[in-house]
Amino acid sequence: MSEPLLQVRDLTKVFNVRRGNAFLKTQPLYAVNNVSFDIRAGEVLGVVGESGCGKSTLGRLILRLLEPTKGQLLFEGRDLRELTAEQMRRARSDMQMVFQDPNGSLNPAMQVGRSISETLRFHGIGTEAERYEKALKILSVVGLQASHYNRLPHEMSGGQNQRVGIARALIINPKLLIMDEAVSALDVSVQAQILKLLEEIREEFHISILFISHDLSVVNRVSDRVIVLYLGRVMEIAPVKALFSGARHPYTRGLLASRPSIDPTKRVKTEAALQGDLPSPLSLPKGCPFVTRCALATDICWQQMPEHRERAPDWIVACHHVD
Amino acid sequence: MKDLAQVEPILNVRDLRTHFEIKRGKLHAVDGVSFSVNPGRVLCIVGESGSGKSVTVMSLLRLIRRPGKVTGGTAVFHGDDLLTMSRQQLADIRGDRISMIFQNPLTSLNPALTIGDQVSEGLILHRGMGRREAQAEAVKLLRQVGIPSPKERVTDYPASFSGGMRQRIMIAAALSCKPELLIADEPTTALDVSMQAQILDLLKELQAEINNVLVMITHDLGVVASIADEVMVMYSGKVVEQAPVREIFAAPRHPYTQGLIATVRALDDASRPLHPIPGTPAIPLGQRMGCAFAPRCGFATDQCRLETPHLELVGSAHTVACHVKPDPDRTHV
Ligand SMILES: Nc1ncnc2c1ncn2[C@@H]1O[C@H](COP(=O)(O)OP(=O)(O)OP(=O)(O)O)[C@@H](O)[C@H]1O
Ligand SMILES: Nc1ncnc2c1ncn2[C@@H]1O[C@H](COP(=O)(O)OP(=O)(O)OP(=O)(O)O)[C@@H](O)[C@H]1O
Ligand SMILES: [Mg+2]
Ligand SMILES: [Mg+2]
Repeated sequence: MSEPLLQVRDLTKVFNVRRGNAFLKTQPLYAVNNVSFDIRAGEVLGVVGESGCGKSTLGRLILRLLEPTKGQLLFEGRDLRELTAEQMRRARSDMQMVFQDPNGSLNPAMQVGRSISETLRFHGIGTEAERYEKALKILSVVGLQASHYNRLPHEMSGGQNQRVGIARALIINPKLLIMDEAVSALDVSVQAQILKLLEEIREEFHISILFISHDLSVVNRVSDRVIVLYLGRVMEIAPVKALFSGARHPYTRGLLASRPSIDPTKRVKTEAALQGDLPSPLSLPKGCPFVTRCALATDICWQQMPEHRERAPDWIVACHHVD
Repeated sequence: MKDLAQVEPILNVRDLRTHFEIKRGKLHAVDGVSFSVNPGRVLCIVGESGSGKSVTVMSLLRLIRRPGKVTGGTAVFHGDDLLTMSRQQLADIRGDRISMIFQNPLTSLNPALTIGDQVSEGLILHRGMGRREAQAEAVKLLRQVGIPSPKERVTDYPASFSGGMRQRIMIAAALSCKPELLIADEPTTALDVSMQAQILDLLKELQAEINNVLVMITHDLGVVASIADEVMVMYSGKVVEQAPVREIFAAPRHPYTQGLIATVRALDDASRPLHPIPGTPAIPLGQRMGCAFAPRCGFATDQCRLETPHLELVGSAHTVACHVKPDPDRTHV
């Protein structure tokens, strides 16, 4: 197997959160906790997990929009944390991110077409005319029209702006694309169009995608492998088919069982669905973070974080009770 | 029948029209939209991106700014027209009897205020609570929407919360005064399924308690299936279909609705190929002729290209604007 595009090792991010009104007292919040995985060339790696489990933080750490507290990030074998500012700038053109909130990430005073070609200008690519041409082309790729070029973000609908964000990231042909809930706000037909588009660009450009989403159907459809996060920790990493047909970690199983039905006659929850509340990341149990909600939990789970063991080829599970 | 007739809708919108004056002409974002919602009911608005869902609800609360303009229609809330009442009257109602959750959770919170201040604002303004009491209430609301350690985190700023948490903070703020009309624009886009279920349960509980009305825009048909009573489908500024929730799923009659539901079913099942509705959404610009969906519709006839279809009754509470009204079975490929 060839070298992975990106190797993530023991990546950790701790935020210091204020405690109530006490100004000087802070408490550590482990948003991402000793996370390790690879992204292979040309693969789509899905990241799932409940709200607040560290998905966006993970994406931002990889792009170094946030400074890791600990850990290594090797992009094509080079440690991203050791690059100079200039080298990092170049590496950035290989890594693009589409954010969760389109409106917050577009410049409100800039025509959306400009926002798109700006990426090219920033990296010194092409002439003004070429950039314009390319921007028009990519607009149609994401299902917008040339007439949208001159609009300002507030003159567009939410879904239209999200497509601008995707166009802006794609125009530069990145090797790694991080999509953070990039299709969650889109209506299904546009969602389907974008997912189809992803299938196409993957084949054409051999791009790797870290696909962060809470929508399990979509993750199932686009990913080759999936990482399941829970309160900053990796619970399971597995090929997508294996995960969706026979998840091993009790958390993953609960998550999958909680999927809503699109049948209005079935408004009941299934037994296996997750019970109980997510514990606060400010007061985590000492052992496995899932212990408070896990039906299999025993003493050891309260005491010790289980190791990440490979239980089958390409299948990593962190649980004391799965063999 | 008589009983039904006696129920007064809490919100009654008739022939709402809003356009934007842009360089290339008039963009008819909302082009004659009508609907009404009775107490204790949930209306879900679905429709393609850019079809005018957000502009519809923003128009109701007079949040449209230049170059946009509401040019016609009425929106009667408990007997008073929201579109013509004085600004002061509207300001008194907003955030109190009517509240709105906006589409973008990450930008609609004020980054300079703590989440506690934002959630308690309505309580101080409209309920006359003192700051202390309101903060305590805010902690309670934050706990209800599943923010962990709310007591510790009530003094944090929005930036230190995840996308889904910020969306839930918005929801907590919108629910604080127990509004009679809650308008929610894609309120659960950033939420995972279990959190989404928790929020939907919370909305239902509130409804059971005060019999209020919920108007919710969502593209998530799973959400529609689990909470809606009625569904309104928009396309290019117009309502193309409206029906009770079971009927929309079981027997959609507009080709756009049919395509939408087929796409969702396919999305749900990774082994099936994706057939997104072909073509791009129509931009409702200038003078319009015929059905806006015709260029993308497999059933379109000459009539569809020339004459604008109007809403017609096809069931006791089911209306559709389509000349063809294909049988739902014909679309099951
Ligand atoms: N300020 C504005 N100026 C010009 N056009 C606008 C403005 N705001 C909205 N529009 C246009 O009005 C139409 C309807 O927009 P709206 O935001 O209601 O769509 P939507 O149905 O909510 O879509 P989405 O699902 O993507 O949020 C779109 O074509 C949009 O581009
Ligand atoms: N700047 C920050 N300061 C303090 N805490 C933060 C900061 N950013 C994130 N956090 C915390 O880190 C945790 C993980 O947040 P993150 O945004 O990565 O979650 P997420 O998995 O993307 O969730 P969602 O699905 O809701 O977007 C949360 O508990 C959040 O409150
Ligand atoms: Mg996030
Ligand atoms: Mg909208």
